[in-house]
Amino acid sequence: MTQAADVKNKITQHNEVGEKLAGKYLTFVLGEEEYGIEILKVQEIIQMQKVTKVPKAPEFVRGVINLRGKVIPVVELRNKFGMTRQEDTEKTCIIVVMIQVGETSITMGIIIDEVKEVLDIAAGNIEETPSFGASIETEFIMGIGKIGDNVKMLLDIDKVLSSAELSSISKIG
Amino acid sequence: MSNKYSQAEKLLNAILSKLPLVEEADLSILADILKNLKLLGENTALPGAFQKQAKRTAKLSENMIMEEVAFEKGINKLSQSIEKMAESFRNSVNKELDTEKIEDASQEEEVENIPLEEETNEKLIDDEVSIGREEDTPNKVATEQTFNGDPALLADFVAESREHLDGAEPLLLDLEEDSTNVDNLNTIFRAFHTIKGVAGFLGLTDVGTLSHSMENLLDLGRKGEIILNSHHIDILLQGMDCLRELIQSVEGILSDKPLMIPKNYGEICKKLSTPYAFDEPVETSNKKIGEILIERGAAKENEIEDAVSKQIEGDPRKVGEILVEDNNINPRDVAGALASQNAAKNKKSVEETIRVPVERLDQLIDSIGEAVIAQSMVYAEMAEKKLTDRTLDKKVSQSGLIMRQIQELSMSLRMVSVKSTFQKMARLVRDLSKKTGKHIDLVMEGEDTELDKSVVENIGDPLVHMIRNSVDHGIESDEERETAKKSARAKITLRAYHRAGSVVIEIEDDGKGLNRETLLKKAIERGVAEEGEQYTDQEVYRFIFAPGFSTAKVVTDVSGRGVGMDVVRRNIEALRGSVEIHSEFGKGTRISLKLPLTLAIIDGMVVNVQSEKYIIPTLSIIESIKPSKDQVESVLQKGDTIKVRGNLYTLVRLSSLFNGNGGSEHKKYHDGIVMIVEDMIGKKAGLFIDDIVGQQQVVIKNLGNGIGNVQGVAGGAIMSDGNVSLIVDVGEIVKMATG
Repeated sequence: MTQAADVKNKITQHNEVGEKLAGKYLTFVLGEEEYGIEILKVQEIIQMQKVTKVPKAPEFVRGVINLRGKVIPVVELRNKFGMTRQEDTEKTCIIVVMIQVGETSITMGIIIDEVKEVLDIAAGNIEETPSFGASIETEFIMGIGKIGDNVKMLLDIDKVLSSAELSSISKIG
Repeated sequence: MSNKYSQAEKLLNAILSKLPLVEEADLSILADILKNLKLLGENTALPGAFQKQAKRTAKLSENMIMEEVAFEKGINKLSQSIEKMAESFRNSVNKELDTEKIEDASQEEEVENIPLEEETNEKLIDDEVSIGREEDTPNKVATEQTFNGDPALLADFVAESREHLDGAEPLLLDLEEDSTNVDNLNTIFRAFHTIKGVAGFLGLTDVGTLSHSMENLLDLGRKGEIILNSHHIDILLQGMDCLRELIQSVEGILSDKPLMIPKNYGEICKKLSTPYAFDEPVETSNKKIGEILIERGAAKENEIEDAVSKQIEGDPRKVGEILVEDNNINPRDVAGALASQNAAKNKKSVEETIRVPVERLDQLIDSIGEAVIAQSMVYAEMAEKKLTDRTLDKKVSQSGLIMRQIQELSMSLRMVSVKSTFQKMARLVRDLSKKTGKHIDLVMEGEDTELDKSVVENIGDPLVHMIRNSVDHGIESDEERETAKKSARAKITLRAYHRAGSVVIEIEDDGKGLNRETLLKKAIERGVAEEGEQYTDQEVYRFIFAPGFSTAKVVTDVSGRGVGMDVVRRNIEALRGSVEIHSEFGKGTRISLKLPLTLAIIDGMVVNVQSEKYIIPTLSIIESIKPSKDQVESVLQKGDTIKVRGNLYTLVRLSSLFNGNGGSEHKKYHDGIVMIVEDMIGKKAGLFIDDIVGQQQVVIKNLGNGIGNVQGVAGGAIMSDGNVSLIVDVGEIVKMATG
């Protein structure tokens, strides 16, 4: 393969990722970083409220809340991503997402530090997730969006919340 | 044939060829025509006016199928309309094409075979049906069917057919006792007729054939050509089961599974079509049949006398049957006489209903629950801010009242009567008594009692097991009953009634009752009970719920493996109910299931444990005490026990049970409260909590799909402040506490 073809190949590949991921994202802050979730997965954003602890739940599950008559679990995204937990501020809020696990869709809340904005990210601004070696897990990140100087990690929220750890919640014993 | 009209031509020909075959009793042909008409109506190659005409005609035939238009009137209109269509079609086509010759016999065959595969298929089946009727041998070969209609239609068909079958089954059982109840016969007939019609429309040929044969047999009974005896009912019931299985498998088509034909399908169809083969007599008292016939002038006195003397001589047939079979009189008259012999059964009134998806109903209930909470929050805020405006206060109270009314109403939406479940048991008892050769009457009381849909759905299994047990172990054989000087026919009573906010379902039999000694011996053998220990009767009886517990010497195909009662216990536990057993040796057994009216609401005690509030179901609380220091004793420094009036209970801290041993603030026992709780089978434990907040009815919610089942937690409840509290699962807590 010639070098030119190689480059061309790379470009088309990269475009594929971009094409697939281009669209509207809700961006939010967690620690120092900014993340994005596909807007279609987001059901609503609600204020922080009292969360009822669930016995023997894993560390990253803060508990359950009442969402207009439905009880839904709430996940502490900081814990999930291995960051230290911090006190809730007035900017802390819950994003209610609808995720798909197999054939069932599950409504869940995720606690994040601050909601930013809804961004339309074009295909050209999305890059494939770079590999950081084995030490850093990148399977939750679908791609990386570049907006100006900022970098936003586009989360595969289905994967984040349906990972093996979470399914272990139902087997607490 | 390649021009744009060829398809329409084929359809039209198919319709014309079917038209003379249409008859009232066989809707499948009409359904066929309807389908082709619809296709014509959608054929865009045709002129608009023609399409419209086809659509109108389709509507007409649809109305005929739905019996909205009288058949005679409809068929005339239909043939006129179709002929007109054919004429205008030919005119317009001939204008446009003079080269193509359309009416050609060989091509017509092609018409029938190639493009309209489904149609042809159906036509073949129709032929088969008519053969089946004439020669009584429908031989259906199971084939994989493809369904390319509207899945929503199919789903509706499945739901409706089930409803029809459920409705028809009890009537069929009634029919066994009163074979001349024309109303019942007609209703059952109509049920199968409808199933057949729609099945034909959807191209479900197997369903159509089977329901058609069933309909035929019923029709013979309806016309008075045969008198349906218990063998006919048997085969009809078998047919019904088979049909149910088929419909189950039709449902599978929706998820792309192949249509499975039940194994006994062919056999049943055959049996159904040879009704005369089991014109075997059944005994019932029929004293006055002759008199009635004479009164009506349908038979002469000497004919009756003949028949009666034949019976005395040992002819096992009924008088009516003798009369009919010896061709003395018309069976219709006999049937009529039998009908007047039986008191007219009260007609079942049909309430108008509307079908609503359960999910939508639950959403409504959720929203109303939230509205109630929102309203009470307003009220609480008013109290907090010390607003003393009287008119405001009045208005808020008024709205609160209305809210609660709506909430109650919304809860009642999920209530259904236990009737359908009870009626299934009637069938079961009938089958079991045939199998075991015992004569059993099932008496049902209070079958209109209403329960939450989910509760009703879940009591079916336990009832089946308990009835199996009653029939197999409880009720003695005929000889045993005779030596015990009991009535020859055993009685099982199925009863439902309200008691103190819950519903009690009872199964009572007049069989031999439970033997305390045998049970205790077996329990000790199996290590469930300890020798030398004193047990109350209740405790001994409850051993029958232990898994694998069976005193039966022989395992039959009805029961005896010791699984059944374990299933009962699990189910009742899941429903948060309780079981009581009363039994008198030699006289009978009564098992009472106490069930909550609904799974959605429980009466709970709200308690504080550290910073959280939990709810403990009031039903399982025996007492709450403030322990004194000397009541609590530590065992090997590992666990604690509490002594209440001479009884020792394991003592657990709810906080450490739920949060591991991380509970930093270890309260002294005498600073809190101990609740003695009991699970369904009577195991007790003491739960240590901080204090009691109060008693409250709460709506149970599951913790969301994402979190699944949490051990020791039965669910969550939304409290009046809008927060979620967890409901304690006492059964599991006791298990966790006592190991």
